Amino acid sequence: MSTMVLQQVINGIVTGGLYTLIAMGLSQIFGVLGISHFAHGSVVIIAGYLGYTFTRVLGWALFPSVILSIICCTVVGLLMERFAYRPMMTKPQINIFILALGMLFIVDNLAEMIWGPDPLAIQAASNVPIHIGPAVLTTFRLAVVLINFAVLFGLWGLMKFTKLGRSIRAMAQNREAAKILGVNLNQTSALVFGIGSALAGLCGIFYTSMIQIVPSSGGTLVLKGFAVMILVGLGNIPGTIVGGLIMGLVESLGATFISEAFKDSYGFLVLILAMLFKPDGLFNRKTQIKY
Amino acid sequence: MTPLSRHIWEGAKKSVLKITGMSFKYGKVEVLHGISINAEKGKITSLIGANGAGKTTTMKAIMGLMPISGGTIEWDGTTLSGKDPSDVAKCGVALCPEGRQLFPNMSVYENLLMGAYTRKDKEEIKETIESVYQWFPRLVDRRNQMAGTLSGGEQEMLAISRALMSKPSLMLMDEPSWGLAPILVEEVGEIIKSINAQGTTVLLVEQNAQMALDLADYVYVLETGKIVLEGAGAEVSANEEIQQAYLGV
Repeated sequence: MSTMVLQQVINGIVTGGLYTLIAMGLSQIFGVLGISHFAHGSVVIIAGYLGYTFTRVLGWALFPSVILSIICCTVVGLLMERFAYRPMMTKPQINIFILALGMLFIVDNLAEMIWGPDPLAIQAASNVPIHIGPAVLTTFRLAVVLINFAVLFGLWGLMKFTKLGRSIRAMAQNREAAKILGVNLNQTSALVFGIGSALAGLCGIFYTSMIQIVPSSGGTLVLKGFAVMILVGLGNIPGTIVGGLIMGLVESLGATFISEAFKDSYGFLVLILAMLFKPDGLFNRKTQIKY
Repeated sequence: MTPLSRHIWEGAKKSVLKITGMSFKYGKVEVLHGISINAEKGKITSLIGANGAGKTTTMKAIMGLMPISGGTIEWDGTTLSGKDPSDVAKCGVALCPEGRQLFPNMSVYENLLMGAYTRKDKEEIKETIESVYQWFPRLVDRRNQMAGTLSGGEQEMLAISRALMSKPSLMLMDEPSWGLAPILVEEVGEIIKSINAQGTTVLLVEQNAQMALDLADYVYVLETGKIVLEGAGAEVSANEEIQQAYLGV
């Protein structure tokens, strides 16, 4: 029993890191631009499917395939910002909401047309088991956890200590003041989307490597990302890490001890609880990015 | 209101901020009807008027935050109209906006750094911060405190300091007395004088007409989008209608 708990805690930490990656981009994008970027899930699966295509179909080496996939999905994120969201920014919020959902469905369907409805996976680079007491972790999963932490630590430093990070926070807190002081809002928006999309790409690659990807994975993942975002508040990097871990743990423990069939629902239970206890969470722009 | 003797102000020739026939529309409604303002280099020029006269709109238009529908804005021979705020800022113009507009969840220090956003010289930025701290010693103790937790007076000091961080040659000050206790209004007045004494040209917008008239070398009175009166500070102060309408005499 205790072995199983330990094993599920480890699994929860590993998948939780993926939720953190996706939630991070969502909360930056929502915090700075007020965009509920549901199509962020599309960015995730585009990276996953491209990673699969490059490694499994074309037989390229893992590392360059991963980098190329992340670059491609970042470009997709940037294009969404520039050509879908930016023209909508002066329109009512609901337009952006619908537009984002629409893009999610479009990419979902396109993925099904191109790659089919069956689950696909990237073969992980190295899968040597590491024994932690009675539980098992693979080297790949350990690498995922370490890379996640390194990336998030880097992002935290970027946001806290650099001029770029300051201008992003400034824009989140007071757009007009940032503009007055010379911040180019369009450029900063693009940067926020670029960073968020790259994180989503990394998430997509890890997800496709550790679990499996299907066309609807984008929607499931983006909702979990939003759940984490609501749970911890906007733009709070350490909080988002904790929130992702909570989500991962709730899922893997729930799947083992309650029922595997409802695996994806446990996270949403967390979401509902979060909404009950933080009723002014989701679309409250008063919450601001701070470090 | 009868206009004062509209004498040709000798400064107009060497004026460096030259707004000519500027109009502005909110949607289809014109709120500024071809106003012309000249601010002489090294002087304090005030723009007074009631709420809704178009004072803040004028300031935002100069800064490039709102595209004007007619006329031109020139600063030191460079045309500002049509430029982005970031380019206007690079021309040495800084706006200390109405209601302060600080970054509430950033420290005092970070707010100041943001003020120097258009500058690239890291060492010199640090020097400017030090000199700003000398001007406003109260900010030194608060340097790591979030701007949102400062008192109203401190916030105004920070807003002014942040605008100074770009080392502007033209400082646009929009309602710096907003929400301040009378004693602080006086202090802000002194600060504006010292900023000006250092050679910065100041364009001051105020609802507190007394303060604006006391400080200004030259005054424009704006009413519903038109300049209805202009003249030297003392001259405008002495005008009976101005006294009745704005000074409550």
